[in-house]
Amino acid sequence: MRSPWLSREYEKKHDVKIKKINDKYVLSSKNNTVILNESEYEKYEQNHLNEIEWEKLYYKGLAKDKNCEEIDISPDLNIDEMKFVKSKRVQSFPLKVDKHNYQILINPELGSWMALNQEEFERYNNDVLTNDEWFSLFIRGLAEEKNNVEVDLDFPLPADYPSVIVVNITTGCNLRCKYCFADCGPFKGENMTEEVMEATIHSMLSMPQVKVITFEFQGGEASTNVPGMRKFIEMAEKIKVNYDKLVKYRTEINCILVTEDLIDLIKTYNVSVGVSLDGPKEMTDQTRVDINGKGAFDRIAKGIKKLRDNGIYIDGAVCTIGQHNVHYPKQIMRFFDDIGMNFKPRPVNILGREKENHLTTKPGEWAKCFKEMYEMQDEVDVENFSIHIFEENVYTPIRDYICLRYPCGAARELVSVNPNGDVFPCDGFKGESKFVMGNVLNETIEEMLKKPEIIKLRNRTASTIEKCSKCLFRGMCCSCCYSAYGKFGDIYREDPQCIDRRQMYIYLMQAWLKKHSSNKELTNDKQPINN
Amino acid sequence: MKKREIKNDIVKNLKAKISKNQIKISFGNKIGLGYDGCGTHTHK
Repeated sequence: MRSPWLSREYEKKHDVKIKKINDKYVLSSKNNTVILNESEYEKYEQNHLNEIEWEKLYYKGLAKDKNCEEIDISPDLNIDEMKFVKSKRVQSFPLKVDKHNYQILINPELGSWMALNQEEFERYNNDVLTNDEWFSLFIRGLAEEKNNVEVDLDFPLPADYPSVIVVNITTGCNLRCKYCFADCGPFKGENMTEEVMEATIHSMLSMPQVKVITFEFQGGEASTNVPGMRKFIEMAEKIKVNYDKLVKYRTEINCILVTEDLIDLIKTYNVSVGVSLDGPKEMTDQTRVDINGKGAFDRIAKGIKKLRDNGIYIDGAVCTIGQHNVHYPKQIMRFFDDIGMNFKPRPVNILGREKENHLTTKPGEWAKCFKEMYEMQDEVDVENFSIHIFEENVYTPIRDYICLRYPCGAARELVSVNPNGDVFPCDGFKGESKFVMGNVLNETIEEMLKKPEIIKLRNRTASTIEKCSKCLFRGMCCSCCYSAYGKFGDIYREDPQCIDRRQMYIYLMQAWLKKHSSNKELTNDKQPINN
Repeated sequence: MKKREIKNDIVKNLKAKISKNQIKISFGNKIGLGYDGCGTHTHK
């Protein structure tokens, strides 16, 4: 049995007493005893136990977590006396990894999973697993206990109030990118009024529960309205003294217009910076173009250099993936490695100008791109955030990426405000008037969150989407609401990248098992396998 | 280029409390705030 989900980094405890009785080794502490055979003990001695083998020692107080001392075991608990049964919530599917055939037990609600070899799966089906094996399933929500012992996985829940607001300081832009989901460009240019700025700041700083508020400047192109950004920040700095909140700023810019004024603003107020860049020149120049259709790569590169020459660190780049670059994952990875910039590849969303230009990926293309990037991640020295995000969802119970979790972060962790004061549940909707939650000049954002249609959106879970409600991977996934709307005209539909997502989840399970299958006792496959 | 180890540090610090009727596994770290709009995974 193997699973990264809920697993820790374990090590021996020094106060464990070990006694050899015949060919067995008895490990004991205050309240518990575990008996290991020779081969198990040899692995224990050499720290070669796998995560499930360590687990049976850890939950009996006979091993410790390298990163966390806190384990509180009541003396009245006896795992050996617990009675386990299969859970009706659990489903299974076969998974082949190299020469090995596994059966994956998965709890679709939690996204927890365990890989069993054929012999283990047969014992599972016949209800003859050992109590330690059942216990490992049980703590992952993959089995139940007959006497109603409960597992409480106490992890942070989706937020009730937003802590980030995307401040669209202008709708004007100095580029006319072919896939712009907000349909911005040089022909539009409404700047945010001071009235809207003030109302937005008060509305966010008065938000209940939230301790840290981030104002993220976007547009259009935020750098075309640096005076507006400055005005907003200066206003927020003054107003924040009346509230008990920590305020942070960040901006997402295209780097075309890196002026001294922008540099000064970033440095004075410690504004975090992200940029948009689709990879090497031949890729970026196809989509990130000006109104004359001329590629912007050279100007972007110049802007990045100017920021860096002035000591400004760039957090990372959003790398939009579409027909212009999806077939060149290795070149993209090497490019970002060469320029030393972390990046997040993500497919083109089907909104705004993308509806005319059809640049988004076809089914399977994004997954193939992701896999190739994953396979060469050890060759580069920069972080691919998408790998991190998907690994986190497949390998752990943590769901801190708000677009890959039900309910998503729209009108929960995040809202977006346009220059005229219209508020949207997510940045992705800012070009869609249908999704206006209200206007900051008329009501607070907190009040907007109480509207029935917003409450419904805030509770958009897999069970509200037909295809997702039946999906095995719904516990590690989420249909992006604005992407679904863009593709289907309905937020209560599956993600447009649904096929790719499933391939990516399965791939990551296979990748983990492949990496950790050096433990030869993993499988008992005796039959030759035809690959 | 040499590889920089990228560790998923956020999954560390899982605390466990085990009694006769309940096994509680809790996560003490703060969660981050990555989102899929234009922003990168940088709100942590």
